[in-house]
Amino acid sequence: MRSSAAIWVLRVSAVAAIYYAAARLGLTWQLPGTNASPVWPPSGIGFAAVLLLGYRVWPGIAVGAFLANLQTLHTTNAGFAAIGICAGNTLEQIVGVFVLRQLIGSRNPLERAGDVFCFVVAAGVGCLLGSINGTANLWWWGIVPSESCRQVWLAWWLGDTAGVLILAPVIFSLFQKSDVEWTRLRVLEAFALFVSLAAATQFLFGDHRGWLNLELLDSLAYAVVPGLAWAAFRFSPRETALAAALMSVIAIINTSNGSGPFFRSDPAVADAASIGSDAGSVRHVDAQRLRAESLLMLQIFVIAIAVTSATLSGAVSERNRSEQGLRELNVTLEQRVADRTAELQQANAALERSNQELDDFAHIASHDLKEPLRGINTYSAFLLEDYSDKLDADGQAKLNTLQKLTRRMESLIESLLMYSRVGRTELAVQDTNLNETLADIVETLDIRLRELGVEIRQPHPLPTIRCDGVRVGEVFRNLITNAMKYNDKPQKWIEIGCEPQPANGTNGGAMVFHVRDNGIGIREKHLDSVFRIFKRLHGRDEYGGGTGIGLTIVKKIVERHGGRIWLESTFGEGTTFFFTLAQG
Amino acid sequence: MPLAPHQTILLVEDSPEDREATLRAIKKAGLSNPVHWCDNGDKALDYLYRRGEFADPAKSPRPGVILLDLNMPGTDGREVMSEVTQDPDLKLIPIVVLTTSSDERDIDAFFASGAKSYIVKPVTQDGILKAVQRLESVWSFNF
Repeated sequence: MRSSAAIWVLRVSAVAAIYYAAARLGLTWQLPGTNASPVWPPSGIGFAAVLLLGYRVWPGIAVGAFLANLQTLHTTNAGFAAIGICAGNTLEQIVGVFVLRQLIGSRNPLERAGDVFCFVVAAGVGCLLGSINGTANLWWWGIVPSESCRQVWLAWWLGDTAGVLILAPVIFSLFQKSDVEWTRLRVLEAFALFVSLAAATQFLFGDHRGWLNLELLDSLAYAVVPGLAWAAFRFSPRETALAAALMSVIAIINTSNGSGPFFRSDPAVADAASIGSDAGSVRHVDAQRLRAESLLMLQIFVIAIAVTSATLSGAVSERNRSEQGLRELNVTLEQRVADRTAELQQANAALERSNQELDDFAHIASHDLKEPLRGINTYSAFLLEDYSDKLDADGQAKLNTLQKLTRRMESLIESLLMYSRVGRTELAVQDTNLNETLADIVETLDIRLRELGVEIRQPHPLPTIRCDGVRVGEVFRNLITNAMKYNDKPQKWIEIGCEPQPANGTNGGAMVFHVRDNGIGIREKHLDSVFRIFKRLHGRDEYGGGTGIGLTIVKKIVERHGGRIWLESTFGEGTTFFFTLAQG
Repeated sequence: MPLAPHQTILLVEDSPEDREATLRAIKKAGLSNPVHWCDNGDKALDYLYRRGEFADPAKSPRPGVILLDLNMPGTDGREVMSEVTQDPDLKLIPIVVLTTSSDERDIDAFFASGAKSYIVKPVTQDGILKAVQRLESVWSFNF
């Protein structure tokens, strides 16, 4: 508590001292023949102090301002006027910072072009208050006549505003972190920047009429502005503010010394004024007007430089920050993609493991299931063999049914084993001439094909494809066998063909195979369930029976090859199964 | 003739029902060979190596053929097969695998690991005869 109070006293004293010193400095910048400094540095000190240290430092500003004003004013009521003015000076900074905080919150006002604009507005508003108050005080205490009030107020307002705009950014940014990397090259560049800016400004504003008579130079004040762009684009707001301040100070000092493009004086006016004739008094007014013009031009110049540089560097640092943000986002994004990929790979590995475990389970379980079943089958066979003379026809028929059921159970288990085997064993992938594969299959089915009177149609030969020939043979065998079984037409046919898949980007190069029949067809509501394990659409002994595993295995084989299987069917007219296999 | 009528058939099978079926099939096939039954792999190896209760050679005549079930508790048929086929003496005894699978790939694997023939369970008269036939053809190649 004690130490924080001590710090406060220390800060307030420091602010008061600096404010007073800045005021003394500002007074040396008064243009010849005026009582006004084109830029009032204390207002910049005060604004930066409130911005950095908070509203609590206001007594420092008040004390500094009071002392400065007391020393400037030499009239009888100087004390009262100084109190009135210093109150305004203090309020000016408090209100300015308050407006700024209302507009941009606690953000650094120099790091966004929009925030810089708010800073300009806040400075203008604060100083408007201070300048009105100051002018009113001077008029009230009779220091300034009412006809001069307008001019005094404008010079005051612009001077204070320029002071805030040119100095506050320098001081404020000195206490902020800068992201400029000071390599040796960068230091050299900064040195070059400041030296060349100072030299150029001195050249444009300095008194060189003795050795270089160039009227043109008087119109070239704004030629220094590109130097600010250099500072803004290559350095941080701090260096840019410093460059603008340097240029302003050189311009002000030169102008107050009576040189540069903004200094207005008519030699004739000066002469006449010194004579003090009637004509002189008219011209004296002209001289005052010219000096006011000088002041105004210089103030506008300084404000323009300050606003331009701050806006530029604000926009540049805004851009740099968003670039940085994008880079960071990019890195984060890459990291997140990597993380997610790892997660997916893990999940995939887990899934593969559990698939493998499921297949292993099916394999082992069905082996174990078969053993007692075999026992039942064997023993019912023993019964039939050993006790045939003791069993009547009914008993024998029941034992036969028992055997038939065990055989059916066994074929179901066998189907399950086959299915699990398709998932368990590696595909033996090699270049396979599917024409030969199909011919082999048709040959083994030849007898049944003839019995049933089924015609095999093959409009064009099948391609050679990299696949597990035995498995793909099973696909064809299953589909052809189904087509044979489920057909009640007098003229039965099965068409087997293929065509390249219409290229749609991802699946280019795949072939679509089809097995088409003119069989009984499948009702639309059953289309989805035909691939389900043990799903049959007909009675157990209709259409030659079966366990209902065939299409499930077919689907698994096709999918293990990375393909897809689907069907189209018109009930009563026929069915077409399609499946894809990659050609590679 | 690889399997002389006096030679013992070593049947390694854990299921009593399967054993019954196999014994019946052997009888039906007209084979009069004595059959020694072991209900697990450990006992089968003890028998073959004449260890423990089989130490007496009179009680454990060298079998002319081993009918081997693969899926057994404890030491299973695959281990028995690998020990037997690695033993320079025992590997001469032909092994017939009793399997529940008729899948070509499984059967290829049996032959690769040293089986000389196989029978798909349940063992029937027909299965025994075919296996013995296959054994004889393999046998004649070997000599």
